[in-house]
Amino acid sequence: MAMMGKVLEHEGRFFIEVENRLEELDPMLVGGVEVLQKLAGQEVELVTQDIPWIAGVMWEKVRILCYIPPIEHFRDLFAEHLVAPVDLHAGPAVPHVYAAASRRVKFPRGPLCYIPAPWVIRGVEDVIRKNLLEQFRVDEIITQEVYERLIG
Amino acid sequence: MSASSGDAGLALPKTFVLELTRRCNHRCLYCYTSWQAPELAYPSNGHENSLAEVKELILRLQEQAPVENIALSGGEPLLREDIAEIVDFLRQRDIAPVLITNGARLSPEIVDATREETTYEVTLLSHRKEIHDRLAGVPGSWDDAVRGMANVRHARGSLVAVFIATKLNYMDLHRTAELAIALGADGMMYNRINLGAANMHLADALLPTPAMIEENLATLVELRRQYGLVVAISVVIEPCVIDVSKYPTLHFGWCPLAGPDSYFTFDPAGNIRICNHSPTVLGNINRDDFREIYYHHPYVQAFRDTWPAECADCDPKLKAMCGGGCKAAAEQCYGTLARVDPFVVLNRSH
Repeated sequence: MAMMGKVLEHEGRFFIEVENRLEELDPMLVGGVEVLQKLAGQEVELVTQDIPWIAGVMWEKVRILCYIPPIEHFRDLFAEHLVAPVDLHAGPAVPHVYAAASRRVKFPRGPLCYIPAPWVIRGVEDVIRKNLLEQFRVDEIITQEVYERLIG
Repeated sequence: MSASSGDAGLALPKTFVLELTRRCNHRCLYCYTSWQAPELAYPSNGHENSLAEVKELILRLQEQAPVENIALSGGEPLLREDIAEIVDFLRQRDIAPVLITNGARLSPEIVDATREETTYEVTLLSHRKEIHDRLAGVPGSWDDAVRGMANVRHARGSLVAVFIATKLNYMDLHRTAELAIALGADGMMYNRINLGAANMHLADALLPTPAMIEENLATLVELRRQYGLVVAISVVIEPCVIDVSKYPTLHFGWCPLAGPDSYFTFDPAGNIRICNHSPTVLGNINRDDFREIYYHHPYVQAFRDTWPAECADCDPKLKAMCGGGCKAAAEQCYGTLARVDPFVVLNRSH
């Protein structure tokens, strides 16, 4: 079942309300402030961010600032068992699967950091319309006249 | 009386439907207009408001309600020669127009004259012209609709495709939506057929089964994911027939029960009804105050308060969501608000 969350706006900042918690949204990740303003107040389908997890060093301890879910194959392993030595030299750009295997980090159960799903944000893309139009012309479902009207 | 709140503390609606004409160039099998069914004894006054009368109606309504949107319907609203003037007047009054049309008369000239701020809702029943034409009742109607939609897209107008699901076309939904996207639709309105008195006798041939509707809902989820197509479901799909919670990404519409989200409807003579499906005339805008009807008309109160007998044992959560199905369809088909609409009655009996 799809993960759903509500987009909220508060004093110019945007949040996703999901699973009884709030996560702040970076407008740059979802196409800008205008996109989020249109979605504000709506219940939307969510996906998790497709970026590595982010860690920071605070008071000589590694602190995970934000998680993404590991690929499906490793998710249960990370959620249930993973406790590995910490490698402080591994930066946030290290692919998370490799990084996780070498750290003493307890991963949380389930992912954090949700954003509205791309198909909620972008609508139908022109290239998709053109490809479909081409199919319908080749299949002779629409006439050449209609095709040219739309291509023009 | 205030135009924003009334005696009952209920906000006034902002959306209305204007049926501009009873005339139509199609003979749709799924049409539910009350004036087609002699047994409903709908007022036979065939008067069609002139342009001046339509403008007067809009001004009167704006005095009585915070009007934001008006959907122009019929019959076929584009059969009116003054449609561009009506749309233009709505814009002048800061009202967003929606044109509900079969698309047959969406010529480049009509589109150019009406497209500013207008949303066009054009019926596309199948990617197969023979199916569309059969449901629309007129040969050539598919060609006309496709050409009309292409004209809207060419002019960069805002286009929504309307798919009415019946037993004859439900299996075409995916390909039809793809065609709608190719023709420029930004969204799709999906409605199961909502029967009326005039076509109740076609229920066996037209009314989809729950399994057919469920297949369509899964298709709509996929269309949204695959193409980003915005989907709205307007006619109620009762949760006692289909578990709609399985489709969280779809937006389901429920009966607004003559409340703030309702869309009271004015027929071509100015007669007022609760919605475009309702057969009951509550008054006329030329002599009656809309607020008086909205807040005090006994039929409106009954519409809000009456629950169909079939809902007596229903889970209160479902009941609150669904509002008792489409009471207007129940009234058309069974002559009472106290029954649930045929989609539930007939599917339960099967």
